[in-house]
Amino acid sequence: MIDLTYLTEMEQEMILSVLKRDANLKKSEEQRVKNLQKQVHDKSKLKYLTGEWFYETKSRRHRDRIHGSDIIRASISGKKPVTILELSQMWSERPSFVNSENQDVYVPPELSGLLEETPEKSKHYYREDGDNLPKESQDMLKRVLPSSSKQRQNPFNSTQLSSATLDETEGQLTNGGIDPTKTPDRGHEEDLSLIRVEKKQMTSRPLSRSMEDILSPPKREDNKTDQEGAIIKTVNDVSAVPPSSSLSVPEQMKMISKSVSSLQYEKDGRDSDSTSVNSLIFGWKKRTGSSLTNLSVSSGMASMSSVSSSVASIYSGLERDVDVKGTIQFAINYVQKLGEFQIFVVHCRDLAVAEPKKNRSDPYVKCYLLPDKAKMGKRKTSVKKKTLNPTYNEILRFKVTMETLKTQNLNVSVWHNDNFGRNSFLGKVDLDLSEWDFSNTQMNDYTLKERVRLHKTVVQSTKTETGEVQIWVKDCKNLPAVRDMVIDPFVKCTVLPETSRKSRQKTRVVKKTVNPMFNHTMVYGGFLPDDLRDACVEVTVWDHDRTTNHFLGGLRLGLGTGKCYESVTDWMDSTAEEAGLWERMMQSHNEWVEDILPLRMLIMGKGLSK
Amino acid sequence: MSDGDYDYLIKFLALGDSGVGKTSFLYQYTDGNFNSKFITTVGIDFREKRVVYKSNGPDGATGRGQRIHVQLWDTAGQERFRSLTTAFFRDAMGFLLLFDLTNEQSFLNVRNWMSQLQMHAYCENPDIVLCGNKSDLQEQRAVSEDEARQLAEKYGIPYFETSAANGQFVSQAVDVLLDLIMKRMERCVDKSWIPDGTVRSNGHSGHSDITETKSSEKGKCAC
Repeated sequence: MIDLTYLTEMEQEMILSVLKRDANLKKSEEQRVKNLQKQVHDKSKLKYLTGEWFYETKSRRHRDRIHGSDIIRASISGKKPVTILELSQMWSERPSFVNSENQDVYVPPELSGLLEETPEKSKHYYREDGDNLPKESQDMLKRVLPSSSKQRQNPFNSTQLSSATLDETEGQLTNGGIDPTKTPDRGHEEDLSLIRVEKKQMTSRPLSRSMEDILSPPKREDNKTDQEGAIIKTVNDVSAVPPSSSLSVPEQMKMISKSVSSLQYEKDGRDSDSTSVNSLIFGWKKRTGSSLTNLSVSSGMASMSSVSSSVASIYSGLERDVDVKGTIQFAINYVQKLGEFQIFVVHCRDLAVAEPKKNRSDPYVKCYLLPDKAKMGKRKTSVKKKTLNPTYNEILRFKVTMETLKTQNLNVSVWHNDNFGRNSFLGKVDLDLSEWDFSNTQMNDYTLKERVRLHKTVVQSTKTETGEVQIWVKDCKNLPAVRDMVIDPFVKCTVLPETSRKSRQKTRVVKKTVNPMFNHTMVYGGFLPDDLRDACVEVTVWDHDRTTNHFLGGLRLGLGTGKCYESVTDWMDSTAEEAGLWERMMQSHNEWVEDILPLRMLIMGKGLSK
Repeated sequence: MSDGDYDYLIKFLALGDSGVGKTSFLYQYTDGNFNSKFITTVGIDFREKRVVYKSNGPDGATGRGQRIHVQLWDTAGQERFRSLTTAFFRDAMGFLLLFDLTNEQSFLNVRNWMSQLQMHAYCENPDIVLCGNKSDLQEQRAVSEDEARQLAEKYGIPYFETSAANGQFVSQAVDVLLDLIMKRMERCVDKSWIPDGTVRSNGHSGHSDITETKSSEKGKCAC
């Protein structure tokens, strides 16, 4: 069986319907063959007509008589394969070579290269009494399953392995059989890379699954192209509200916010690179009848900018917080001939534990080129399960010119892969490529660094009548340098649901720094204590760039209930930390409560514009 | 369509990078149509066609046309579906390996696809036809005919510059593949004592005459 869990339900259905058509064809073929066997007596002629010539040759190589379609069908339906012993007993009745649909699937050794690589995993595909396996397939298993201690040569330094660089990871297939003169050991490595490629696919979680939840699946017709067209349409439609949509604005908003929040959860979806969320801006629903309309504020305004998907998923703030530790080893290289920038990720050492209850991390490494002028998105390694010292030996590639590359910053981050998509940040390294010596293709060790933080404080003073919320924005650390390594940050603040200009305040712009200090206090009055439950202070950090401002990140301080005065909203989405701070403030009147909080990407309302 | 009323069932499989035109190629072959919209194949699909094959081989007897039911497997080029599509390689008797003439990387990857085939197909040297697709996009050509022919020669396989858009050489490419299979079949059966691999298929024999019958003309089958 092959691990096909990465397929969405829709895709599985489509594939199963294709297999069904194939099964029908096989059925009528089987009938035809049976008739032929009765009518035609010339043995060799029979072999032509029935296709036996093909299956005979095939069986010399693929010991079983199982069709690929049967393997896939079994993999999707989750039927367990049987041992050879059982199979041989079943096969005592002569089965049809045409149609093996009704037989349990035995995975031949040749295909075990397509299974997951870890020995623990392989137990799921073969029965526990794996001793029943014939010696050859046991040997094959050992040959095919890698040992983690195997050290890989640096592909950038070895010319003889230069073909290997073309074989690994993202876009490439392995070069298994081209050069028969290579040593058997080399062949082993090829198997490894084949497995690695397959494994990466298996652990990915497709983006489109979340889309299905929201939008009803297209009608299942026999015409495949319609189905696929529908799917592509749904993916694209979610990102931008179609003007001709028959849904009302609030419904649309709910749909989009739901899809975006599930986007943030499904961050591990490998396909999310190709589906771009072009705009996170959508219509803002104005609240009426709120007692917050009498806030005393003053501010100026700056324009909104949309957040591209590549930046959006860097630090989404939905992850649980972990103290960063450890190192990462990687090498970088530019291959002129292919116009390709390559990052050879070797390993990480001494990573933090992301899940304390289970005392484990399942780390993977993610790379970005920032500010991603070429809109290439992220590249990721496979996930290594349950280890704080993962070894990858994988190459991540970007197709980019040297010219562009020299204007970029390489952002390499390590994450813990959580089953529910709440991946934990484990550390990062940034390399300024404008200052990088590209002849340095050595595997270097880097200490993993912390990520963006915003330091701020909040206070509230209330009397029995209305009180004030005071926000003292102290400083920021490690802001993402989205614009050519230079940013001029400032902080904007507003209290939701109040969206009028009166509500907005901002600090001054601090030039050319990723660690600006503001020490700016903002005050909002007119709050009744109960109002605090339904209000949310939205603090956002921006990069002031001449005529436009670039969004760097933000937070929302509120209770995070998802509701404002009984209506479901999207901006009451405070994280646990943000809500914690707000609650503390609510409980301790007339006192400052302080915290350092990570900035995250926010869904911005259209109301916040010039 | 599959009414069993044919003489041979032949299975082909189209493979190559995502976006080179495999689905369009097969659609052009079976239906004579072209749709420029790009809809990526989900994993796997297939189309069918009924053709008549005439040859002067031992089975051809007096040149009577053989009715062939061709099942054309269409695989997804996307890496995401790789484990799935690779499982189907073993089921095909012949392969149409496509690359995009306007995309150099897809041509560079031909080498990798070839090794995948050699690993997973029903035998070590299956019948393959190499197709440089999108020949109609002259201005955007990124692969020269020379270098493509050289590569095909190196592997000893036929090469066609095809266009799924205008149909150029599409049916010829499939016909040649069909011819290779039919010839191999005869060899397989008659000379089965010769070890596999020593008798290589090497291109168009020029003897066969393949004509198509549209299934609707047959009247009997209901596709």
